[in-house]
Amino acid sequence: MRLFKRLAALAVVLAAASPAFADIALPKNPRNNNNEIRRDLPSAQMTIERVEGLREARLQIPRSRLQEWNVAAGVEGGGARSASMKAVGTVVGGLFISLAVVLTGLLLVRSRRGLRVGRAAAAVALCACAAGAAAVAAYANAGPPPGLRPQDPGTLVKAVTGSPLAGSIRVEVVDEGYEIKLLVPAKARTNRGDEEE
Amino acid sequence: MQSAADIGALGAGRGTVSTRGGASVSNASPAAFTLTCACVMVAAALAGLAPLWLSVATVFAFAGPHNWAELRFFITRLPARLGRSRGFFALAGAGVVGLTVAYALLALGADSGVWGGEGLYAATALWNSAAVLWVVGLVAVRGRTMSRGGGWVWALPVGCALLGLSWLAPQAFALALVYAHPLVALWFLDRQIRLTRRGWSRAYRVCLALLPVALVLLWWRLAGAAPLAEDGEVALRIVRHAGAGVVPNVSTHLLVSTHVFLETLHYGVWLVGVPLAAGAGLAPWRAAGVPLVRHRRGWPRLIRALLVAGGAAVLLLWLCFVADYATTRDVYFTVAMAHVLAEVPFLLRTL
Repeated sequence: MRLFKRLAALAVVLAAASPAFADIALPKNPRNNNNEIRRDLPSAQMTIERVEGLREARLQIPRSRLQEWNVAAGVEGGGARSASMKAVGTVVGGLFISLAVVLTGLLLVRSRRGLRVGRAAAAVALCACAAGAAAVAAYANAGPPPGLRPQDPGTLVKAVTGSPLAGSIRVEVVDEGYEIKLLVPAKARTNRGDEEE
Repeated sequence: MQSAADIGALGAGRGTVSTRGGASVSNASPAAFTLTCACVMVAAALAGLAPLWLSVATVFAFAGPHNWAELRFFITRLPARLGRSRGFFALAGAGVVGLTVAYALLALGADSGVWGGEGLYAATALWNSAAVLWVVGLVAVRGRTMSRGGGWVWALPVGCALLGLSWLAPQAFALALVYAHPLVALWFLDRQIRLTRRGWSRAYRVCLALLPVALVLLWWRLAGAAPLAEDGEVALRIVRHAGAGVVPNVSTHLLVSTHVFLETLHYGVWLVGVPLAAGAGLAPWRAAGVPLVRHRRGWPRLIRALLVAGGAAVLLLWLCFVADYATTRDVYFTVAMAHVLAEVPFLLRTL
């Protein structure tokens, strides 16, 4: 009986915690501060290549990365998971996890005479796992923890040393690769399309 | 039905001290123990230093042979007469075939992009749910045929919890299978050692304790590592397989290293660990010890043909890898779902 009281108390605490955290404020919009590290933004590898014979500058974005960013931005289509499907998944997942908790309780009641410490521990662990999973789902929109996956600009810092470089580019979505590439013609061209010496 | 004594008699090698059931009680030699520990740590080091290279090399060399070895192991575990296990094996076979075909269709649909985001999400969640229901069904059928206890009913709440998780995060659930599968081999090896080499149990458990140590070391060293350069189709496939895009904010170097380390252990267990523990009885090309070959109501020709076909498939896989590694790797990991699923019923039967 004492075990059930404890489990009931745990359930009450978890139930009370859900609405409390559900009201949590969204993180503030980051200010436009150049000195700030924007960990909320997705990062990607990028290379700038000088290509012999290329007629125009081209920015290549892998389709796979574009799909990931669509997902992050909540854009429909293109492989993105829409909000409606997310809602269905959350409802179905919640129902099954609730059913798991109920079944665990029923089985505990049914086997209370032969209840062993191991079973009780397994049941509590299951409840904790379910509550943890629910918490993960609830906080799915939170930003990633700081310090993970540092964004390293690498040798890109050497690309622009003085005045800004400018020019028009073509944006191309490519099927292969996982890295953004800025392809720059090796030689400038005249208005007629001829390469300048 | 094949008993533990039969299995033990197949396994124990000559010149060892054996119990009546055939289990050798000789302790593992210190040299073998040290060598095993060294192999585990070297595998972890290689996985950390050159994960892409190790992944390509191990999958090329060992993916086919380890499936062959598993086929031989499972055939040995099949009883000559199904008896009361008929329903269990029928459900197991239907699940392995059905879920593998469904998985292949899922992979085809995902590659072609015809489903879009919603369709792929729902299809993945449905496949995960079917797999969980199948496992719960197997546990229930197995539990009801066993005389002791009704502990199988606990599979129901566990199954419901897994169903819930599979709908909350279908991709993460599928990825969890990728990482959990190599660990199942360690469980098989544990059962085999307890059947045929009981004296090795303690040394094996100590070796097992090295696994979390090696993983923690890997994660500690690679937590802040730069993402792997994904140059070329092969690198891209390996990184994706390890969970890039599913697990955010984690270095792809860490993911690939962890996955490759576990896969290498998995291959080592099936190609070296289990055959060593079982003695010469589990060499894939030897069919004489299989109950279905020895039994007068068995199918010796079919079993021999299966094992020969397995060997031929290994050669064909190597040739395909040489011809087009990236495509073959895709096809292999789709078809290989069959052996992942087949491990479930045989693992349940050892419990």
